[in-house]
Amino acid sequence: MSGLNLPDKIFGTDTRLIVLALEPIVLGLVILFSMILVIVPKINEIPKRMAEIKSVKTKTVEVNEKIKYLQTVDQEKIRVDAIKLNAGLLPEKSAYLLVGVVRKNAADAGYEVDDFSLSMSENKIGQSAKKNIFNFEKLPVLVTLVGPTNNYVNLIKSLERSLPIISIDSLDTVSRPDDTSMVKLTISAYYMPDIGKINYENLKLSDLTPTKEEVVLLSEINEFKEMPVKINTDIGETVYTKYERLDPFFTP
Amino acid sequence: MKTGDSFNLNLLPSQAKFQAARMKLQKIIRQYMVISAISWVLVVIVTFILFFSNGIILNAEKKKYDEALNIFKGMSEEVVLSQQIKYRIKVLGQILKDRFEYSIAFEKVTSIFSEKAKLTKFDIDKEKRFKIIVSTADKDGVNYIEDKVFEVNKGEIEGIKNISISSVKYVAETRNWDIIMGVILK
Repeated sequence: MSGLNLPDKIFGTDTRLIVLALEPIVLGLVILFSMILVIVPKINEIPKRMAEIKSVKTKTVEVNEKIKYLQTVDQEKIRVDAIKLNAGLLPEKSAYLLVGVVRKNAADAGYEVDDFSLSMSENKIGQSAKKNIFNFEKLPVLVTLVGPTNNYVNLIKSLERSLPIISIDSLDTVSRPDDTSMVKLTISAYYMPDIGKINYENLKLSDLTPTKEEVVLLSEINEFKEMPVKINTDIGETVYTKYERLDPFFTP
Repeated sequence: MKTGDSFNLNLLPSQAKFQAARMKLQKIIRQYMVISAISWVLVVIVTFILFFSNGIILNAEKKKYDEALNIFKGMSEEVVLSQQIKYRIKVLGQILKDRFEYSIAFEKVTSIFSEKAKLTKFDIDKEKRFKIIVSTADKDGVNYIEDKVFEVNKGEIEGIKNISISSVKYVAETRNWDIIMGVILK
């Protein structure tokens, strides 16, 4: 202390006592600031890191479970099921396709399509039909079929057990004296756009594995008859022909 | 040198007491400082060990996860198909659940009566109520139909809620009894 040349007393307190208190105060400040600025933030970080480790471990286990599932599942069966289920919905948002399906079904039951009408607003791309939680769209068609009365139930069964899936919204039958019936049906098929890009990280194992109920449903759908779906170009597309006719009201 | 300085041994009794007390206090303070410093160092060491070891473990786990995720992403075709199947089953399941199945309804109605009574005609209205005509040749057949209607209305036949007979007539041309009924399904 001799080098510093301090007064005997500072604010009435012996300088030697103040000097004595300086060391613990400095040490206390060092400890305090290091705790506040370094140690406490690091201590707070530790449980977060531990939680993150746990989370990453869980995610790794989940990903490994998904890999294991995909490695064990029969790939050929998955492909077959996917094709079958794809056939359950219309491949395009076009009610004309539905008429084609109905025509084929009707022919199998000895019926013919007498006439049909489409709701054009439902058929325009960009104008959405009735939507739901799964974002599929319902495409309704009013169709009149004519055929043998005794095959009427078979016709309905055939329509309801075919793919793409058809819903009969209304049904009206008129029997004719020649043992034929005129069946007026309002039927709908369904269209759904692609699911979009897959987020691999958020995909759960339950998003890949069907439940027991879904497996039962899949086996039921597998029993449905798959109908060929293609656009009838005779109805949907016509070639424009320009005729060079003279205007009868033309006055030179 | 000041009077009472630790190097000056010519001290007054009061100064000597003060000096002794000061040295005792200094010793206690030193002890506490050493304990505090050691505790602080221990806390620092433990904290840093936990912090950095968790960091190393976290990086290792992230690496494992990335490797697993890359393998999973490599199975994109299988993933897409599996997810598509799952989603489409849900969609088709919803559609099938929502639709009224006329064919099943027809099967239920046609299965009510056996060969003793023949279902000659049936029709369905917008409220999904059936109007059916059942024909039978004799009294036994009529009794059988009445018994069946009674069974249905007692809830003994699955899937059919109610049958009401609206008229019974004898058709001389076919020599049959035609019974017209309304059927409501469950």
